[in-house]
Amino acid sequence: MAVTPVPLRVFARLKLQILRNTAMSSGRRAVAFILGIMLGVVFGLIGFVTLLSSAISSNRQTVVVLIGSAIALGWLALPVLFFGVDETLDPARFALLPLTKGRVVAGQIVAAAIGVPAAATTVALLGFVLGSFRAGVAAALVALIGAALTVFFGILGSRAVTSTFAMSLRSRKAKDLATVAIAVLAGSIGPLEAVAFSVAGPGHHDVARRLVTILGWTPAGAGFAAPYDVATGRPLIAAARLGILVASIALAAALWWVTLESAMIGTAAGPRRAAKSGDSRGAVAALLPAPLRVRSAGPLIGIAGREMRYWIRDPRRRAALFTMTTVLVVFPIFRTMYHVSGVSFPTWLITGPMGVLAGVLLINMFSFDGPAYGLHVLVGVRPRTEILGRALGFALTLLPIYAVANVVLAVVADEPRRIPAGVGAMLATTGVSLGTAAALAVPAAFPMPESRNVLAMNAGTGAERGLLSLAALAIIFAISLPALVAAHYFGWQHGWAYAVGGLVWGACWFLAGVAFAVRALKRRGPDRLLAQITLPG
Amino acid sequence: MPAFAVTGMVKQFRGFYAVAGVSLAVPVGSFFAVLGPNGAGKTTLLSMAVGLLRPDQGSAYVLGRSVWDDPIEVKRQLGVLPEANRLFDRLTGPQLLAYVGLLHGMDRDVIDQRASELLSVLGLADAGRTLVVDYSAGMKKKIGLACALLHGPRVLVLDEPFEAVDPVSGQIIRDILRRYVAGGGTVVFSSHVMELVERLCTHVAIMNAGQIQRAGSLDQVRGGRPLEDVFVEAVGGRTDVGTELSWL
Repeated sequence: MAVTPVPLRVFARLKLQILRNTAMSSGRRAVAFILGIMLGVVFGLIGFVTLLSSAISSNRQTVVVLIGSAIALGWLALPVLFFGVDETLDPARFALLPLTKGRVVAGQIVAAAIGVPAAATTVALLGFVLGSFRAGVAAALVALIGAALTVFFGILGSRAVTSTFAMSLRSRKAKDLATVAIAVLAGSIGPLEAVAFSVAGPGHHDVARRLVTILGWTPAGAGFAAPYDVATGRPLIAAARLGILVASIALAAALWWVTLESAMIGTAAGPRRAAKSGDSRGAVAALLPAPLRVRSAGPLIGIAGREMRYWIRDPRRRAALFTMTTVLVVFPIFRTMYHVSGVSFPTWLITGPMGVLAGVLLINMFSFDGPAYGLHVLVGVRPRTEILGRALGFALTLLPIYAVANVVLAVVADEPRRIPAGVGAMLATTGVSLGTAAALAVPAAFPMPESRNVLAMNAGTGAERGLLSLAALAIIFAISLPALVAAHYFGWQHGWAYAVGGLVWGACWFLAGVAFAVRALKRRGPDRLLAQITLPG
Repeated sequence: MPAFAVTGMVKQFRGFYAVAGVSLAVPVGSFFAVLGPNGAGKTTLLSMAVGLLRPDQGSAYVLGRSVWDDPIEVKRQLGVLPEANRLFDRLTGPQLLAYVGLLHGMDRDVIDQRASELLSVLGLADAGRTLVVDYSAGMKKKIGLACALLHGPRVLVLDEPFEAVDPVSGQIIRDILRRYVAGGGTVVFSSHVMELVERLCTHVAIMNAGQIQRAGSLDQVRGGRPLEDVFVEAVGGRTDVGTELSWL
């Protein structure tokens, strides 16, 4: 029987249906969807106003090309980050359907053009096109063509990338690795930018101008630079820029066409590697990291050991840990090396915030485990063991990194006598931080999605997580403040005494937080906590 | 004293009764199957009976002790095959078993020895340092069973233990469970596979719409008929396609 080609409106309906089903699947997701629309409206309007007021104004060309390039790069990169989340994106889902390759390509383009990002982009770029009328109809026409081609390039380029990496991104290890790389990259953007500008010296505008000159000859920025060429009477330059864009689109389309089939049927996968040989040390020694290999290991040591493994192996935890380490450790070291502000900070002003922020990683400690926490419920782990084991595992993972950072900072600043005060501030704030996290962990626990991609859509928990983190930070900072003030007055002269004081301060607050958490867990019951952190369905 | 008992169990989710007043007693040394179609309430019932889910009403007992009033002592006697997503799957098989053993407070040497034997018998020793998250569905089922057996419980509660398991592994699991029951242990498990239940079990309960429809020894429930016929009769619903799908 002949099969009628699937009309493109079917893909459009599929995308809309998925958007609707996702939004309506729970109240939380509905809120997340509405927030997404609101953000889309805000970004769209900001882009519209900025581009409308800046377009074809010679002193604002930098702004226009940077915004335009950011939009193009967003279209290029975001589907790669969200791969596997939007069901209309993964070509493998179409493999068993009687569709030609051309139809799948067309359908995917239609699907990509529907949604909040597409609407927000259209609104923003409309500002660019309307603003370009200032330089005449020809410039506006080039702006329209440039903007449309740029978005088209973004859509095609992202699909080409996802098709090329479809198999590797479907494998757990590649996704885990990508997650960490992306998280570290995201955490590094601010620090790297600050360092780059500090290295470049006072001429920041020159750096931006040079960047825009380069972007103007790439597919990301060419479409936004071209109208300026028309406005300044250089139509051939404008045509050359649009030519680069068209050639890039053709290249992306060709790459997509070639890789789509292997992405749909999975021929890009290599043979499965044989399992690495087992561990001859025995099961317990294989589980416990070296610092915990004690003869009398019990539930407490077991939980601490498993937590240490999980801070490295669980992609969500690993990404959070790596991001925080990048921001809190690498950046201050760079900052100290390059004297960004011209003033080098006392060590405790860096190690103190490290400890303060540590707790943020642990406030939803039970949800990291999700349904696996059920094993603890089945075994009947005692509440005190539960809380102390998690805190011990986290402290043993994080404190060595912080300790090394403290020493490196002091050495880089050529102030080794600052080390004790840095240690004191670190111990005081980390203790307060872990105690606060423990105290919040039971009453404020909420489920996290079962995603291996920390940057994937988060089922509406982003706002909840953000508010909780802010509240925790405020509490931790308030309790840590006396220790930081004491560091200022006593840190220099009585460094080691201050370090002991910091340890005592941190330990007291930590134990108070643990006592509160144990009572809370006993009152609530592990089974209810399990239900609280497990997503329905 | 039954090995495992629930009385008047009720659980509702948003007005829907998943379990609607179930009472059941499982004799010591029995091989007890809880049968039922998808959505019958088997997993909810077993989750409440082992302390994973708090019932709205009713009680659960293991060897005479209340699951909810004396949880620590009960959980020493109880081994539960968890669903795959309840495993700490970022550990290797040996590490996961070591973790379960340490949580139970077992001696380190005993953990090492039992883990090694279980992995060997269940054919998981070759998995080496592969993380459980990368195991196949059948391997996850087997490592889950190893976790349930490690501390030598007197009562085993298994949710669909043979699902996704290949025939050779299925044979090994059946052998392990038979030996366990012969040694005085009690097994309670849920299943859809009638042939398997008829071959293995001494007792059966058929559950539908949150209630027990039939319960007793296998012979009592069958009444001389194939178990499948009894099951279909108890559960009801459509069993043939009628005049539809004529185009197939």
